[in-house]
Amino acid sequence: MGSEATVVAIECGELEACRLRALGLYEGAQVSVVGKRHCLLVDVNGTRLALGADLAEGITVRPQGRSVS
Amino acid sequence: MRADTVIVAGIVVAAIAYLLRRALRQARARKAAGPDCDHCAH
Amino acid sequence: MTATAGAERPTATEPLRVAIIGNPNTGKTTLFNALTGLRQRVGNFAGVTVERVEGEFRMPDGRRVAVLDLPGSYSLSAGSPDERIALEVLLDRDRQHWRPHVVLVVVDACHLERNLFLASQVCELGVPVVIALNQFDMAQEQGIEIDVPALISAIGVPIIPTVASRGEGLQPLKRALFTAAELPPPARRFVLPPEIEASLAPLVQHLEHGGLPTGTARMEALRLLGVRRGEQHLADIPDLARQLDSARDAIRAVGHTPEREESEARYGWIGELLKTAVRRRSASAGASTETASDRLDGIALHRVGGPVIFLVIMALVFQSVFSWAAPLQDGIDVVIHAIGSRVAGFLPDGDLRSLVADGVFAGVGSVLVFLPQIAILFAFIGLLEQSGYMARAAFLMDRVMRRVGLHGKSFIPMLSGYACAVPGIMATRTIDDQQERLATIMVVPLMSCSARLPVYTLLIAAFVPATPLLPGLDLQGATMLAMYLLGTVTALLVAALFRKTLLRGPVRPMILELPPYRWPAVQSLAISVWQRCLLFLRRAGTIILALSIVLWALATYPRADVDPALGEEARQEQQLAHSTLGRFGRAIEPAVAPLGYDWKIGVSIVASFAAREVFVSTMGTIYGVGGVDDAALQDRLRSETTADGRVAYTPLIAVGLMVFYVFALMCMSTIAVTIREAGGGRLGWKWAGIQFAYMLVLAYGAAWLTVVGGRALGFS
Repeated sequence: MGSEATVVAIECGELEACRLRALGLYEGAQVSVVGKRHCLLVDVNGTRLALGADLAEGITVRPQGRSVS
Repeated sequence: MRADTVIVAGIVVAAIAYLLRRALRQARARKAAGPDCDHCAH
Repeated sequence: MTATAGAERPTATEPLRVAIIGNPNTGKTTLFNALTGLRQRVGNFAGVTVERVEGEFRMPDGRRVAVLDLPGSYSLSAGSPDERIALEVLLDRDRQHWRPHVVLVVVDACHLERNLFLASQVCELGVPVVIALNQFDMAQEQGIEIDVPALISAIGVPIIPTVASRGEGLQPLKRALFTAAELPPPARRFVLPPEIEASLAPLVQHLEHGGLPTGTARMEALRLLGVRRGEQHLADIPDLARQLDSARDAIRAVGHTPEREESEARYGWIGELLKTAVRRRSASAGASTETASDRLDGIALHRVGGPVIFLVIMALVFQSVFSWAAPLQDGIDVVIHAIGSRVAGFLPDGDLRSLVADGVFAGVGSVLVFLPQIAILFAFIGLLEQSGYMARAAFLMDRVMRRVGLHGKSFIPMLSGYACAVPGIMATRTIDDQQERLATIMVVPLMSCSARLPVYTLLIAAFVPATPLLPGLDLQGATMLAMYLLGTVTALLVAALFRKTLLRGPVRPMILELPPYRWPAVQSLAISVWQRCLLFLRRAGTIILALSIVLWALATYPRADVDPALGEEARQEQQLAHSTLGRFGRAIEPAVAPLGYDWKIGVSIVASFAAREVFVSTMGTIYGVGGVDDAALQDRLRSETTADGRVAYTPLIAVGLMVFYVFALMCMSTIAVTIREAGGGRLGWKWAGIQFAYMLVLAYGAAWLTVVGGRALGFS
């Protein structure tokens, strides 16, 4: 994949949302989707994060106008 | 041999006392805090 | 509990108190080790069970510095008890009132944006701050050029580039700590939109009335917008929830989202200042381009290859722990025997001599011999952690863990359990969900800890032949591996059981940071392993020594009137049977007979409930008392016969005994930690009790099954 995207919405438990925000993954932030093995690998501000599948499904990103989950 | 026995008795008593003290300290430490962990290091 | 108006300056007699905080994976611990060397002390924070590591170092002019290593955090917003205690200490709302003079924030130069989030929060607390820009060398390698003076003027605190793993930058850092203590503390460097400031003002005031200084109140106000749960350190401020809600409403009224405010504000500011202060050489600029780390991950996280590599690494670790340590162990054994006989030679024949030779040297010596294995085990675990592979392993295990209702994060405590259950249980603090956390705590002791190693090793060496199976692996190593696997698999099954019955609940999704792979800092690793070895030696020199002495006494007195006509061994046998220990052993023999054990093993098992290693030393003492001095314990075990002349211990019984040890919970320290981590008080005791009970039942049942089943299948 390797595409830049903007985070549109995050739907997950409050604890996770708090942690994600501290890590730089919040609504309006720019992230890069690095890969999708059995989870979502994103790059947020230079940090590689592995997000569990269920969590990944709750995050909506928009690469250049298109909406992808 | 008497001196021998006395020394041995002393050592054994000291050992028992030490173990009891440890057990008491661990029981008390359950409420308070303090470095009582002598089995780990991280 | 009122906070101080700001940090104080150290008095002439106090050491300078420095609290270290930083993101996980920044090399914070390496830096801490580099600063304090071996002058560290591990304990607990008062009232909680977060591990507390404090150390000290001296300046060349003699001034002392006390360093407190706070748990790694991504932000001061507590997601886990770890992060909570860090906040409490920094706000001076911890029970011990440590009151740092200076806060040292360790920042990873390769991940500035994320690290500065925490740093910016800390800078608003009114305490002097120094930033250590660590892993500076790696940043340069990746083409990241940092204009340090620009950063300093933008953030307003001293910033020292360091490479903790090589010890670079330490001297300027130490000096900066003292300088910073004298300077005024930093403050917030960015401005919130006026409508947000206005919405927050009542909340800030409310916090100030509650005792927080202004800067801290403003930091907290912004931070709390995104936090739903009540936080303990603010529990004494009345009406906080209501004020917080009205602040949130006010923010929504002006068209903003309260939960995002802090991230937007801080990351916005950070983004701006990094634009000018940091430049990346275009080759490595793209965050989405593949790095060497990514390529490695292509293999490490591969669908099939990943787990295979993982198993291979695990097998390698275990085989080496068993075989590499062997020559060292033999060496230690020889030395101890030599010293022992020398010392015994000096003493006149009698009780004291027996105590020294058979009680002390035989007992403690048989445990000391395991120092090399423990050192190697800890070295490997440290290596995996430092290189960054641990995170990948946790990741691979996540799939498996999920099936049993656990988290990938549960993997790391469980892996630590291979070394020692106590830090493993403490490591569960990073698991946020209480049910998941309890389930993990319940099963961590099933991961065969290092104290079981002496038991396995003794029994395997005595009863399992070293037949080669694969290149590099023989039957002995395989048996060892099998025991570890047994514990692991059972742990997962039991966890699943708990999660379906007593500890129901959904599994939380996983967020895991994958740090780039890096070469481990050898020196820091060496210090950690050394610390662990020292603790092992201390344990041997204290509790095991004391237990050996007491056991010797129990095995010697009361003295029997032996028939001088009998042979040496028979006489000692009679002596042993007559002693307190012997009588106790005979009394409980019926309980252990179904498992194939005689009273000697029965007694050793009971004694080892205090400390598992004591099994070996008790056997050593028993046979030291009851047999020829020079014979190795293994030979004695093998040649032991029952009353009717049959071989007393067969390989099957030995395996059954090992199985018993895989499952039984025999460690006071583990029980104590479980009580605290499960919540303390009644709740803690309840869970510890459940843990002990189920493990004992499991141990007895499995051992019995092994022996009975094995016999049924034709083994002996």
